Amino acid sequence: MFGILLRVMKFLRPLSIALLTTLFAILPHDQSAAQAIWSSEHGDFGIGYDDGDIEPHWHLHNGAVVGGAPVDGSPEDGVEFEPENLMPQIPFAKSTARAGGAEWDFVGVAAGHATWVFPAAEDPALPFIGLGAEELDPPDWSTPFTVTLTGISGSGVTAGGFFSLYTTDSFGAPVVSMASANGISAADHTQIAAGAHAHYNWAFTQPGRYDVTFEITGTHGADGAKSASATYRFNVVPEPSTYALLGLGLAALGWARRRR
Amino acid sequence: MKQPFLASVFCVALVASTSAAEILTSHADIRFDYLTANGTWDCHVQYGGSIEEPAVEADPESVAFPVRDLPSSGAGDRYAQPGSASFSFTGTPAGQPLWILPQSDRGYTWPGFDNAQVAGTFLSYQPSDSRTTTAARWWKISLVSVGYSGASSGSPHFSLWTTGAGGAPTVWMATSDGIASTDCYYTTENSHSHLNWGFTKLGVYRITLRPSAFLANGSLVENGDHTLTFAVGTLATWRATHFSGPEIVDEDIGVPLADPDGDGAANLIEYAFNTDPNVPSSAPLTPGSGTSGLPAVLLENIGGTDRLTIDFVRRKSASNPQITYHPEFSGDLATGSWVAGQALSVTSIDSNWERVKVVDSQPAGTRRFARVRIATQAEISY
Repeated sequence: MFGILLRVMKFLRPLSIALLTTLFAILPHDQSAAQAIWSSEHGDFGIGYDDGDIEPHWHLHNGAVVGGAPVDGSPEDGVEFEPENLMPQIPFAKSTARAGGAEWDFVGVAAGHATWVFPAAEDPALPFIGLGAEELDPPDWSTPFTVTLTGISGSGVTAGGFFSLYTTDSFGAPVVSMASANGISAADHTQIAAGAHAHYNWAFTQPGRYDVTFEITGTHGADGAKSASATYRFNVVPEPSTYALLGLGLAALGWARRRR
Repeated sequence: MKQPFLASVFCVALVASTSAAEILTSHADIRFDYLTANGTWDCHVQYGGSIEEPAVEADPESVAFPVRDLPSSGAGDRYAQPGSASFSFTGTPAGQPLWILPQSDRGYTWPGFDNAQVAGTFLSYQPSDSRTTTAARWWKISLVSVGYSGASSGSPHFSLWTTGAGGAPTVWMATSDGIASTDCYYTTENSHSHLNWGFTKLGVYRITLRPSAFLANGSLVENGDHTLTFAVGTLATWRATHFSGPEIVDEDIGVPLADPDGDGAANLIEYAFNTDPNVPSSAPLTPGSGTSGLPAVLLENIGGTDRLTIDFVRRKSASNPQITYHPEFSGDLATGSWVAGQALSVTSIDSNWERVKVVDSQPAGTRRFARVRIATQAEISY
């Protein structure tokens, strides 16, 4: 079987390269508009407020690597992106095994199973994703903001993947804010005060894309109760061999058609 | 050379320092920045600040990080060492109290490390330290020393660790096995991070740190030791409130038996009776209504007999003051002659203080003496 594939590859090298390039552009098939890929360093799920509206966005700090190069918004401390225009990405090779113990079952896979986590303690090789409300002035807000998970979809979900958001206490026990494995409800939320900043572990259990929808609510002292909803996208890069095999398969189809 | 302080010489008042430390009870970052123009590292503690107000950039010796001696299940920072082998690095046995400032914000003192450099100042490399897993523009914070000033009779230990996405701790610094070059925290250029800070005894900890990095040209820059003060428990926090930096541990200024304002009341007495250790005063408490002052002794007719009474303010035991109050009476001041008084009333003043009145069990007679003796607890049993 492998021998046949090798012979096919030899004939189809130029064709397969063209097909693979096309595949990278179209896989996974739920990509919409062109998205910048954030691959490392610090950025935040940002909460802004403008003209009476809560404005969810990504706020990437200077030095965060997007599209392979560090962003620099100087003299500002960073660069902002609409949620749909930026995608934090974690490579397949950066998986970690789910820890043992029933307290970790919320993750949605068995102990030892691979998970892909954007960590709360910075790893320079990965996006360091915080939750940031520093653009907001504490005296303006009567309540902290509540960020609630309201929906999740995408190829990662279709593949059976789950999302969870958690921190760990001083002894390493998980403190869970959101977990899609046991269903999505109002319980899947966390809070952040205006002006504050916090880091979490953002965990995914299968490769693929995740479109995660959050609702953000808070009470403005003068303007009253406010809410906004936005979908943020995350990517867990599938295993490289998946691309190669798919590429070979399509290349073989193309060759077969040409032969006819 | 320090001169021994003469408690009885009231006319020589040591000029008390009023440089009290700012007690930081929320997010505060220890910033180490390498100043390329000077070739030195700078250290500030940055706190406060919002979109509307600039943050305060304080000299590290002017601030202190308090650690509350209350259960962590409530508004406190006292935990129990969980007993798994992975936490023996903390330096205290399983089940023993462990005071921790947390990696994740719990709404109180929350120290972090911060750095701001022109991007590319530091060399990108992979340190030969298994706690780092990739090449990056690393810099390092090394533990130089930990000074301790407190009542504990055991060995106080300090440790610094992070818990990862999988829960297992990464230990950066731990004094329980001594201080070596591995007691260091690696972090990256322009990063901001939070860690768990652990302390095994009540008291004041003076932690000296040294930043270092390789510049992009490969040269090592390592200078500028800075000391941070952590105050674990009520007594330590009081000392840090009234004295700052090196004064807290200065034998003539901030230690419990020093009397920097020269008013005859040592710091421990000023702590016990809610007076200011930097302002000389021997004013007694106003009986029945006062909230601060030395114990007031009166001759009163109680139940038909003239007896001595003592009115004094007392720190509530629920606040874990680390001292006990012993109101006592004697006929002749002889050692061993002091006998406890009888409680007449206890009136709550606020969440931390109460006012107590006790009476001599003996009638006044020819002469009687009264005192309140303060004893320090080396450890508190909770």
